[in-house]
Amino acid sequence: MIVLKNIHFGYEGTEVIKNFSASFASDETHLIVGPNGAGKTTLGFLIKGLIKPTHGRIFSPRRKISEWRKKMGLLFQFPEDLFFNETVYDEIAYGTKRFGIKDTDQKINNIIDFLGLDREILNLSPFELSYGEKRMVSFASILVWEPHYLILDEPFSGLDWQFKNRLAEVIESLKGRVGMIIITQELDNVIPFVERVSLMVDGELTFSSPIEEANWDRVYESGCDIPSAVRLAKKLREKGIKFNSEKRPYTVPGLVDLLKK
Amino acid sequence: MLKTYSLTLKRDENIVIQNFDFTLNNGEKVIIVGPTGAGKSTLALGLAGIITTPPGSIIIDSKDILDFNLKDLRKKIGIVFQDPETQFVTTDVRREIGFGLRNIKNDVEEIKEIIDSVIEKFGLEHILNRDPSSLSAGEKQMVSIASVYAMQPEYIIFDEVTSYLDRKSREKIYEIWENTTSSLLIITQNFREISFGARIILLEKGKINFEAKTEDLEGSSHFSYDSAFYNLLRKNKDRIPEYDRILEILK
Repeated sequence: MIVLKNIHFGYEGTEVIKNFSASFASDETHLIVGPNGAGKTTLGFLIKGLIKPTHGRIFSPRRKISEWRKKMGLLFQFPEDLFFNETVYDEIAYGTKRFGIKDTDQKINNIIDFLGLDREILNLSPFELSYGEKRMVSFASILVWEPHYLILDEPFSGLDWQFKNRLAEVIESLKGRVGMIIITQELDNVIPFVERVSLMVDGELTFSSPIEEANWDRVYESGCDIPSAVRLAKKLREKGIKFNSEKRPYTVPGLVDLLKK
Repeated sequence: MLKTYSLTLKRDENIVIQNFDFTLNNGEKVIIVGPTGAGKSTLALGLAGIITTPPGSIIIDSKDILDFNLKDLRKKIGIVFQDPETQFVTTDVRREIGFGLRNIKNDVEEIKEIIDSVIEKFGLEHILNRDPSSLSAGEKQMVSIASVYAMQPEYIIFDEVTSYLDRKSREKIYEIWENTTSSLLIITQNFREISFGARIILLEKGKINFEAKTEDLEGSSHFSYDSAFYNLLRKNKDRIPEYDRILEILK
């Protein structure tokens, strides 16, 4: 578990993170939502240790936080800015050397297949790729060194629907084995399988709850999108369609199941 | 009118766009969708005159794109990139919004008025003095759209510009798309945005795979943004008591 206690962070005289306290379980899939400029990316940087809080503490009760961070993968918002190798193969293989991963060729091929990419991509220059392909290659270069924890910052942006679906499947298949923080404005891609949701507004934590109990009204008021199923359920209720109001469906199949009854 | 004639675009000797014939009429809004790697962004760069195109392949208002000087071209056609950071040239948001504008206009008062109205329209008051590079991805996207919009080009290309935006910011952009008199070419992966175009083009492997009027797609489960819900409803039709009414409401 990673614990953040009374974290503050600021630059250019602006406080970006304000008194933020939360804990992130090592096997949990945690969705972070919030309007633009709420500090979500900064929070990711703080957890990964790329920047240090101006006040407060980030720690792990049972393990050294530095140990945690070694096996923590961060998929940046614009990961393609970080490419520096001549081929996609070298770009992905780079991390394996650092972590002493063996059978690099086989591992890389497996990951390329797992992500639904064509193996021919390995010989191309990463700079030639389309935006979506770059994003997937960046993800591959993290997955190849088998991280224990992942922070995914807007992983779906720039991807077409096929890649979005594939990436969502990949993320879902990691669930449980790898703890994850997913920051996204595209909720429908991840809503069926996330376990916890936190809302950040203006650098503060507004709420954190199991997904079943999420306060979607507050998410909407903050300026963010809400899941399609929540939006549709609201619309149907307003128009007088009655269904078990104690249950609050947040996935499309969940809503259909309720409507059947 | 912006027209292309068998436009072929290469990047590093690879053909990315092949024999692309296309017309964007004055005031028209066209959507381009397509899988990643289809050539959408390269097409956008070509149409905006940022990468070299063969003579005679892009004609804007009866003039070859190659015959425009840079100042006139930027008045004519603007582009907002997918990665907003590539667009920034100044060190504060206010200057950034006025940068392009100052290159095409001289009247200081007029420039100030336009900048002020754009700031209000995009809701950027709270970040005016910030360095664009220090902003969040969503804020960067808003600033880059605002700085192109400020120039009021007759044609604007939006290359997946809403992917980092929250709902409120996206709604602001949608309002602009709806009310602008500029001709728009909107490249998107977001099916909800298809409704902003009168026409839709599916680009695949550098070629037009199909082209249709957006209204002809209505009701097509393929493009409905709640399609997963509709499909599930349809599958469960006999087991959902109020099926017809629900469908009616959703329509």
